[in-house]
Amino acid sequence: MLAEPTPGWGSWGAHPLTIGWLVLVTVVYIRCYRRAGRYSSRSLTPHLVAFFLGLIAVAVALLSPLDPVGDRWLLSAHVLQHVLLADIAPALIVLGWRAPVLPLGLSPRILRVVAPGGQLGRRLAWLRNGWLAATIWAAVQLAWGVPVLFDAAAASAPLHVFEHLTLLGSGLLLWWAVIDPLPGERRRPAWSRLGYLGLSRAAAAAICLPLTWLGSALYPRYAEAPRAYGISALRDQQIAGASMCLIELLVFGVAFMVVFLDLLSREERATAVAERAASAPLRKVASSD
Amino acid sequence: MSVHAGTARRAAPEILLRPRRVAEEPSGWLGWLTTTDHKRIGILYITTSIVFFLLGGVEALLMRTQLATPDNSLIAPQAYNQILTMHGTTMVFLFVVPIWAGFANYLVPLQIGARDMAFPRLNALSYWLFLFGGVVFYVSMFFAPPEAGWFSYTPLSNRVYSPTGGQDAWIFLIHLTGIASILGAINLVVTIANMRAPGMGWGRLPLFCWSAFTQAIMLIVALPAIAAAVTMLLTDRHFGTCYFDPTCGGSPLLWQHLFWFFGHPEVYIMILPGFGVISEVLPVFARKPIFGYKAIAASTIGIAFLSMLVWAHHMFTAPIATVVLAFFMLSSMTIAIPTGVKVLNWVATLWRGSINFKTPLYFACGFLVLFTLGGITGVMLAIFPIDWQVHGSYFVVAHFHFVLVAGAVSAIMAGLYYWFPKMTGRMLSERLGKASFWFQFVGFVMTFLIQHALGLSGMPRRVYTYSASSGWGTDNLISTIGSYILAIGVLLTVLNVVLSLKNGRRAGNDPWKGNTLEWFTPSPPPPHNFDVIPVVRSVEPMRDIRADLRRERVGTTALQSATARGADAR
Repeated sequence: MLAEPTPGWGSWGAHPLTIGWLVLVTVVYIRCYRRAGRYSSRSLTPHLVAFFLGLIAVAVALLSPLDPVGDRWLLSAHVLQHVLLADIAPALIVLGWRAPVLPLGLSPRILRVVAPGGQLGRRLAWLRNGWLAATIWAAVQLAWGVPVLFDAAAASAPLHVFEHLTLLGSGLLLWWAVIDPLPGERRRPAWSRLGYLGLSRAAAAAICLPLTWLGSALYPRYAEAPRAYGISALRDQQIAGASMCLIELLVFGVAFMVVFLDLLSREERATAVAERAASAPLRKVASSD
Repeated sequence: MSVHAGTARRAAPEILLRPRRVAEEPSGWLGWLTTTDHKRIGILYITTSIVFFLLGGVEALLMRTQLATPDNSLIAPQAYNQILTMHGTTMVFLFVVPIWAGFANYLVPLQIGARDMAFPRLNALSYWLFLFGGVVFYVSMFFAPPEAGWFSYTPLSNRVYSPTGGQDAWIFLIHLTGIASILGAINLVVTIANMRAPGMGWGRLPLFCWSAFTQAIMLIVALPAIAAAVTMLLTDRHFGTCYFDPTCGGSPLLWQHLFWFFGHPEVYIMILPGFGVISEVLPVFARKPIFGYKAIAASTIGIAFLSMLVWAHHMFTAPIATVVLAFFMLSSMTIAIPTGVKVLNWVATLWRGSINFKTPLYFACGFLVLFTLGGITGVMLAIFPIDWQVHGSYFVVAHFHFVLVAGAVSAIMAGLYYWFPKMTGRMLSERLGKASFWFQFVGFVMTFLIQHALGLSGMPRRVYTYSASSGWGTDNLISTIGSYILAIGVLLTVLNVVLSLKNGRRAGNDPWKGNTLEWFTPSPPPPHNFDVIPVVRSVEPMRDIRADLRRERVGTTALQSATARGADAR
């Protein structure tokens, strides 16, 4: 029997749905970006860079050799794909959409509907609850970490697509809550954002630490997969866990620092505003004297 | 980065009048025994810790004397192991951690403008638990001291190899001081979260308070692991369980995981408040604002978080997969980033400052140089192939003494010289202080720098002697002479404290022109801390107050007018 050929660096996929989705999102973003650029005096290049890096992360996860390797051969590739979809890509995409791109980039008609006070915005307000978002993210991560579900998703294409959609969707919800991208929300410090980060990383640790430390292969599909790339099943699992832990650690470290510094600045601004407001009547009295 | 980013002006502080609600405490010894005043409890913590520090120091000198010459028979092997265990345990659990609890107890309420800790009685309980833990441990010296090292690895610490009650005394020490630390930490977190002066948002919290707050959270997270581990060890020793015994299904590696999950954060628990002290001392004696307030606060939290994820770098020689070692190597090395941010900010604070070279700054500068060296060897040890070569050698001893003696002890000395005037109302002698610094600095470098060379040439740690043919005799002799010079330096500070308590120059409220609120109140502060609590407008409220006083020098002083305004308002 001939050995099954393993995917190499040239094994990029050309899934029309994925490519179509990426093109559509890019077109929408460019329109919003241009419109926002007309109204905003700030440089929006960092937004653009973040957004495209996010799309590249999605493309790498879904179109690169990571996808076929993760499907059939290596658990570590599959886990890395999940980290890209659930963490790296959503964070960068939300960073790309943050104010002023989103509020200034949408047309007034659409904005009236989707803004937090708009018809649709009000109905979807519950989705912007950070604790809910973090809980959903954690639940999605933990659910797809269960060996039966994980293996089933890798074996079934529709389930696999659903898995990726839930990972990306929950990631967008979580990072929306953490980044707090709308201008109105930036007026309040929202220390709970650190809590969302903490809860989500605890859930990630509950997956990556067992993968790193356990002495037996957890996922039957990968334990029984034909051995390729010179990596044993257990070593593959340890690489999956350790690399996931490391990436999550770096993501958390960077995000925590940025959010923490942002919180201090927001609080400083809020205190300054409150102090100015408190001293305003006194100044008025003093000037009338 | 400006410390006043976002604040357009530095307005005069308003002063809020608050009623005094402090019960009278008995005078004399009874007062000290029954006190719930955070300042007295802080002084009790500091004094008790220093007593333990001196005991631990004597133990260190005994070990160094034994190692001064090859094939020395001054101390028997078993006694050496006991002294080694007592020294390590004392310095970690009975000196560095509790003395920071003392500083935090004394300073945090004063710095945040509070009248006491949130739970004063719990505070007193924490101190007494700590003291009894130390007493239980030291009483074992008269019977059979523990001898399994400060981290009591199994199977060394199990009933077969440590059959005496000394190991149980060690376990009870960990339990008692652990409970004390957790209670103290909860108290500190609640106090800082809820009792800050008006206007003191998180962005205006003094950096020492940031470090104390972060340390408290680390204690709450890390201590349960060691509490569980020592309880399991106790049941293994006395109730037939098998958590750590491989002959009946247990795992000695489990002890290492549990111990170091606590043990590595413990390193930062010991050093983070020191970072806070340095961040308070440098701007005062450089006479300019701290460079990068927010970055320093953020890096404190960053270090705390990372320290929770690097425990296995203490286990690089244990049977662990290489990929896991690689993870712990990389995560350990990332700690250098926030630490580097701090060092950069401290140097930038000194840069172009008008430096006032007083004793606290001497110690702070000594800290900067020596701690950075310790940090660099830390990064070396984080690389697991290097660790494989020097693990269990004197290189590691040199590394952690650079971090903990040059780091924590220098910061403690800096803090002691800086806040002694506030605690006692008397200045410490500058001449004795500077002499003490130079003895400590030279003694420290002599003792520990050469231990890197000893380690690299293969001298294992925890050995009670070595043969003359090893060639380690001269280096060890130099190290031992250095340790005595270091001890003289410490004794000079003790002498300075004793002499200055009675004869020191009177300090006044604000001898250093400090930045934080503790300098607003008399030295020593009254039981209720503040007659009036100022409204905080920046991270340096005392600068604002002094500026205000200067502006209003003509006519009534700012204090009087503000007090009058407050009285009118009432």
